[in-house]
Amino acid sequence: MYSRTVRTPQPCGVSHTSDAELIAMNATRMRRKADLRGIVASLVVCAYVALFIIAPYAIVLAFSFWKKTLYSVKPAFTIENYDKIFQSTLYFRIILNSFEVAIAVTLTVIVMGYLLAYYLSRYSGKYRSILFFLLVVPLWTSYLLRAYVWTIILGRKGIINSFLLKMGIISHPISIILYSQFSIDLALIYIFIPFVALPVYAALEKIPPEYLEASEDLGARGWNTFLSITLPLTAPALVAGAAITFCLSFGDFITPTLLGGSSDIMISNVILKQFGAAFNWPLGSALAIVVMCIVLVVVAAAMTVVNKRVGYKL
Amino acid sequence: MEDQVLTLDNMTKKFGAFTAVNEVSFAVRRGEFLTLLGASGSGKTTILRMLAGFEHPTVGALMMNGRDISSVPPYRRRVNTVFQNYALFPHMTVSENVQYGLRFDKVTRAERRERARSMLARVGLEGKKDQFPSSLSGGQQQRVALARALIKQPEVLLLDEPLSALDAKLRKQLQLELKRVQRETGVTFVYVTHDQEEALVMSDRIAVLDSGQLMQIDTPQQVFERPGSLFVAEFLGISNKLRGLVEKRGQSTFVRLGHACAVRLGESWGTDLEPGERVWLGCRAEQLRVALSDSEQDNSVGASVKELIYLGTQTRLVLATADGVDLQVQLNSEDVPDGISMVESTELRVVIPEGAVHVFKDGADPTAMRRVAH
Repeated sequence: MYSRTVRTPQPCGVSHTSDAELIAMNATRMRRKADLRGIVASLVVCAYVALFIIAPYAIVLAFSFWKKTLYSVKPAFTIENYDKIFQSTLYFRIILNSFEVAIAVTLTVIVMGYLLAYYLSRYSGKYRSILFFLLVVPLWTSYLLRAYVWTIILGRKGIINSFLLKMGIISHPISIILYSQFSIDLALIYIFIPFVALPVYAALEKIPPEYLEASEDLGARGWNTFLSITLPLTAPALVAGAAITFCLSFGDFITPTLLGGSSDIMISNVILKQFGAAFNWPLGSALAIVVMCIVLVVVAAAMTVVNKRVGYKL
Repeated sequence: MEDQVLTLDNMTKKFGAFTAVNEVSFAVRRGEFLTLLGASGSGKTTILRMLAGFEHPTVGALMMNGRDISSVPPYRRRVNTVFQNYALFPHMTVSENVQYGLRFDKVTRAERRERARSMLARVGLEGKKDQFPSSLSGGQQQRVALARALIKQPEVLLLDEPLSALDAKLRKQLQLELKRVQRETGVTFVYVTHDQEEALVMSDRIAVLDSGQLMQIDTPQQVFERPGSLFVAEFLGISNKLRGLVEKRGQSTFVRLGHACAVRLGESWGTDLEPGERVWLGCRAEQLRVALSDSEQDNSVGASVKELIYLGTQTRLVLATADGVDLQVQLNSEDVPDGISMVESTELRVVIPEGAVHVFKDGADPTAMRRVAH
């Protein structure tokens, strides 16, 4: 801090620093301090980005051009890993499958998460806090657990089979509901609904009721008000939640491992294998880069479209 | 019978056990500027929301041009609202906001744009049409809200304290502007405010409300000069209220305020008053005068100065009578007698002119204290 200048009366004719000059000097000193603080803060941010975002991806990118020999990986600059990916229909099929799963999960989660948030915000009444609590609670448990719980529900000795057996609807436990594409989709939808519902709920709560009244007052029925006011005002939150859902479900490997059959593998399972049993880090890295590019393109495209339609940023 | 746009027939609105509006009946005349004036909790906003259709009366009916519209939804009423905080849509430009209401009216895009342009011109915001509301000042946002509501060509425009968020200078300017727009468009305005000065400046008629009940509805002049109850009198700035007993001496009627002071009433007041009756006198601080204490005068009461509040052109004196009642007197500053001092409790006589007096019957509460007929 700067000390306050105490001015004593000066005899006439003696020159003295004017008030304006003093203020200017203080301002300069303050500005230097602010500059320094800004520099420190941005250094921290840069270090964080470099260390935790750029460096890992750079390493993965570098690995993707390396060469695999029989027992080790060697630094090189070869595109044969990428070549292998694009030549083989196997990888293409698995990536496509992951893409389909991610899209299906994301679209379902958008609809269900939005409906849930809308219900919670507008109609839940006195049950609001308990319902909100139930929505948040799963996020406090481990991700693994949230996927695993479905084996208990869907499995051969699971809740559904026991119920159906007891009711006499089936005579033997059925296994197709677990270890299938269906069970993967179901678990992913369950896991990611809060990722959309929570931000959308927060956005809905932020809309002042007068906006809806004003819309109705100006001649819009409920549906028109939803499309013209509510949806655009919650779109940024919806897109953010959907983007997270898409990224994470595209790259998920735990759910297919736990709940998928032998043929229901997703691309991350393959990548995981390259870094483990197959010991082919360069190929795994190349696959990771390809997946990342696809996710980036899809998310960037979705955000661009929505921002253009909505026309403003929060 | 005059042309009535809206008729409120015995309307009551309850929220659970709380009665927000209690058996209110009045009519809104076509083309008038009607102000609902009341403190917060008086039910004025609830009445406005029932006129808009956001709330429905628990009991009673709302008629528009003779048809009961109590249960007609807002989007089918030819009534539009300017909200207290404007409620402009933040994701739309000024022009899109103004056009919004026409989207649902089968109006072509070109016509919509043209009508929005001319409406914005009317409120002086042509240059801002492509900006977002967040970049506008409060006064500009208020004008956009007005344009957005008026473009629907409503039969009645409802305004819910639209100027309350603005600073005093801008508020005065916009009061006159709103009045001008109302005159030019001929649209009926129903305006809600808690500010009595605003109500007096703008209105053709004022409806004074308290605790969900209609106290009085009349022209600003009538409400101000002949308040119907002690409550209305107090709400419209009659700051002195004095309890007294009616006395008759020959043809004259007096109200005795204390052992040393009786106020003579004008000729017209006498008819409805019985000797010995308890009444309240109300008088405006601005209409009282002071004189030096040794000059004996009719209708005057001795009092000592408690406080002296300088307001610029005017000065307000708070005085205490011998009976312990506080009186407020507001004088032009140059009329304040020299040598008045709070410290020495200067003794003065407060003169209560006959014409300044309002007489109210005594009752259980101020709203029950009716003005005495005269």
